[in-house]
Amino acid sequence: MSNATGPIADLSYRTYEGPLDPPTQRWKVIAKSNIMRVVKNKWYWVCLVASGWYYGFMMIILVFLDSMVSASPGQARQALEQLGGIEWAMQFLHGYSYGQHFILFAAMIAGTGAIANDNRTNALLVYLSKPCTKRDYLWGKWVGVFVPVLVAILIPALFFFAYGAMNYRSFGFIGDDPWLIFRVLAFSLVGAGFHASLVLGVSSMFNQGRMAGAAYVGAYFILYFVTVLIGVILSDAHGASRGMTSFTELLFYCSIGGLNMGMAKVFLDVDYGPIFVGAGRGSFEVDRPTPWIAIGLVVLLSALALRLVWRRVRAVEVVG
Amino acid sequence: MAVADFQNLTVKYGSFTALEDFTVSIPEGCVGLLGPNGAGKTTLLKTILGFVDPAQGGGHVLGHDFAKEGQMVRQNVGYMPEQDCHIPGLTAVQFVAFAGELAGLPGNQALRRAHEVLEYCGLGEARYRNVETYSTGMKQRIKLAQALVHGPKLLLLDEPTNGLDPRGREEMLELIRSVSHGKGLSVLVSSHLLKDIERICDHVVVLLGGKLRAAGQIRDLKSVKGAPVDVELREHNLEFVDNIQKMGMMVEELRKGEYRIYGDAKLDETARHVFDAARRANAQVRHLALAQRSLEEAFLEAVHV
Repeated sequence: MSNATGPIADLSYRTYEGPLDPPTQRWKVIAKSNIMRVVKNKWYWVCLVASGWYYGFMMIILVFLDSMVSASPGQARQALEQLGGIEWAMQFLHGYSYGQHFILFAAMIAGTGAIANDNRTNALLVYLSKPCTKRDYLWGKWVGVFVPVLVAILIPALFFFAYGAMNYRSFGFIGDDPWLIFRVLAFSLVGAGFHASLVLGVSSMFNQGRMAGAAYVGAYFILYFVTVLIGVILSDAHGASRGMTSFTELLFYCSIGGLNMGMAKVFLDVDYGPIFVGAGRGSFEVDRPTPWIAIGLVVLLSALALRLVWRRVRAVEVVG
Repeated sequence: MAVADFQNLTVKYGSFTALEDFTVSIPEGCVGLLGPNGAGKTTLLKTILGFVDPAQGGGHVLGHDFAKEGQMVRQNVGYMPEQDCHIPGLTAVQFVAFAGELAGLPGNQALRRAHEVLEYCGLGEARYRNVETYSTGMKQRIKLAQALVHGPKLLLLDEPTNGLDPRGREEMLELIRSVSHGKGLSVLVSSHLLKDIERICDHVVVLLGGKLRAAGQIRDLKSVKGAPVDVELREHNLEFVDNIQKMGMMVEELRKGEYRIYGDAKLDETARHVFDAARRANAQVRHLALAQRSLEEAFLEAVHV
């Protein structure tokens, strides 16, 4: 028989006299907690895999072209021409464009409940009554959303980059643009930061994560469809078959998705895409936006969203 | 030694003044913050924690200016809010360990400490359950656990017995009494329940309309002016009353056979006179004690209701 002499057997209260981490580390605890919550959600991993579907599709095409080169000498020339004609930076833009909705869902999983659920359970009383500042809380939450969203954007892109760098250097994969990896990193970082800031702004306005999620998705899709719809109608009215008026181009970038694409185009330094389908009039392509406007808008909207969070995060309701 | 002191503290929510020119010193031990709803009790606790900024005045908690050194104050203070609060989606042990990490405990220490305080607060069996499934009593206990996890020197408890059934209330009061006596931990309990405060506290601060109405030891507040003694005889005895009056003391009959005797002498001398008068009147003394008001009477006098 063993005696119960472990510390847990002594049920009397004892104070804590052990070591303490420095106060500058508190945001890490909050960020880690949010990241752990996200990685335990299987739908996040589904979104991460699905956000890279275009890269997967491209890899299948590339493998097919490779097999044509080796299997059929007659078709080799045509396949080599196809490979040599690929604009690699554009593939990352398409990858980001086609994966956007899954990245949106990943951002929702990571961020919509981050503050809204804390509002519901009065968790701010716990956070702010500890030696942890409002800045620690916001920075921790932001990093806790940013990192999962960045992973959802960057991992498929890096996987495709690694595949391309290993197999298609002779077709200009790195030679066409030696800065490509930095461009990919830049649009991934800014895109993830943009999503993290906006989703936290929306989250801070609600007391239910689901409501915040519905609001964010609603804002995302409604703005996207309205701007695209108006763009299509105006383009048709102008009878344009290729190229658009500057107003309709600007309109395309007046949504969360559109601005994300504009920002990606600026960082990847590509002019066209995504394809913008007109009503029965073939397809249009939207020019790259003016860099400082696109990046400026992303920064401005992110700052406004974070300002909103800063104002709304408080442990007491203050009546005016 | 005072654990907290406030000087001319004024706190406003917009145009509404929640605390006005509040000056008091909170001693070590268990101190009750008494007052009706809206008296400013919770505002005082939230000001200590830095949730609201004072409009005027200030103060120190455990030697730190709460307006300038908020983080140091919160490092040494544990707060149990009135409202239900927890981190969503966590089990009790995860929640309390997380609260510990927020207070600076390294991860392994926070987990060990979470198990300890959950055991102490009587939640050992339910530590792996999601907090959202807890009953009201359990939620009160886990709020206490998260407030204790980092080993604070001062515990701020806001209406700790709110929503508890009689048994839960007894257990919570016992927990608070236990933690506030002989554990090196001072406790400031905000409540409008006089019986709760009387049971666990040594000192009391009475607030009304944001203003200080009374402060001091409960024993002193309950004492009656002139330090009279209450005497209970086996039966009503007029001769005893005569004898007391002949000794120059004043007698007030409270109930049949119960008297309050006012004298100028010290307590032991008055008691001797009482026994002497009773012996001469052949009266049997069943009870003799220093007269005290109930805390409710003292409170009502303090708030002039």
